[in-house]
Amino acid sequence: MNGERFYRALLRLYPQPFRRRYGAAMTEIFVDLRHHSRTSGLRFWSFIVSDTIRSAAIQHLDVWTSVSPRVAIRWLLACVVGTVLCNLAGGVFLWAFEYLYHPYLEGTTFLPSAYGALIGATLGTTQSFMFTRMSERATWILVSALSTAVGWEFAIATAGATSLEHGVVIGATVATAQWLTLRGRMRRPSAAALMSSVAVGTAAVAGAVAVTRSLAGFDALGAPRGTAPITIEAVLRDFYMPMDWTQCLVAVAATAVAGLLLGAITLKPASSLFARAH
Amino acid sequence: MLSRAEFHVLLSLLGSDRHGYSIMRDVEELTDGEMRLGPGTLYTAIARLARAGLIEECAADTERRRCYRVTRKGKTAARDEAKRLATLVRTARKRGLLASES
Repeated sequence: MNGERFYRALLRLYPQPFRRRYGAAMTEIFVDLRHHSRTSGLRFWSFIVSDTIRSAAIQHLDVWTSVSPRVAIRWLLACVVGTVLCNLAGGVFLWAFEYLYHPYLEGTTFLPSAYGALIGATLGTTQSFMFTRMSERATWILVSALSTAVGWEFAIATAGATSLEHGVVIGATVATAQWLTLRGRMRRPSAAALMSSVAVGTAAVAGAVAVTRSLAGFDALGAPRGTAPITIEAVLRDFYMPMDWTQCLVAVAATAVAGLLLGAITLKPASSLFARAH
Repeated sequence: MLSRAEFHVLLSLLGSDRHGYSIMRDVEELTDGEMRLGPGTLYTAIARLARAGLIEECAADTERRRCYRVTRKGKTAARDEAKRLATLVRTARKRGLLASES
């Protein structure tokens, strides 16, 4: 590979719009610099490589910080409120199941997908307010609910016991559904879907660890984790039911942090999507 | 506040309209070889300055290279930055960091 071809390969480190705009001019300058360079090959290349790495990092940072503040705040708020509401909706759902449970119903259980659909629809509804058209909102809610339902079933059937495994499987399913739905609307839907997958995994771990660990501190001797039958243990595995208002507040705060993480990781692809919607 | 590379690109364009490679050589000359801009640093500075409206593209030169010139807003920004740096140097002198001007 000659020097120019190697430099062209290095240019791939820059964000695509920057590369398209300035890539050709930068290559011309590189050719001139190389032609007139009086330094050794090693010094020249260490200068070029360090310059490329440093400036490419700055360019990527510029891309992330160029998100419209209005869109960013709305998206972060949607994710935080959505995640907290998910926690509340999940709590109410599980409480209702336990409250209405009767010995006659021994052996019966609810479908994990129903729980997943509830969670997906809740978060999807708060996020859907980013769209202006009703049809887009409805599609977003539907896709979120269905993909989370399928993801939840899939996670229980295939994933291990940890929140990370559950989060990654659910995130990957939601991400695939988003990728299929958003293909025509986004510049890089696969990257956005990957971000979603990472984000749901991270949020699941952050939420579960924060809720479980912080609430466990309130009851170091280990209060029962709920009296639900074994059939829903898979769903309850990562949750510790709050016992009083203080514990409720801690759980809300912990899930809000998880929602913030979810929003922050998906901020860039979301902003490119919603910037067009506004 | 302008970065060091951005300020030097503005200083170079205050002299005349230039294309990328010419800016690079001029900055090297202006700083007696102390500051060498790589292609990445140069175009990162150009992109930021253009986005802020401090420089703009002008007609390509005879070699069909993209050329840049400083805008009125860019001149004001360069002057403000120079004043800021001058104040900083005066303060450093008061504290004995630099020898006093005579």
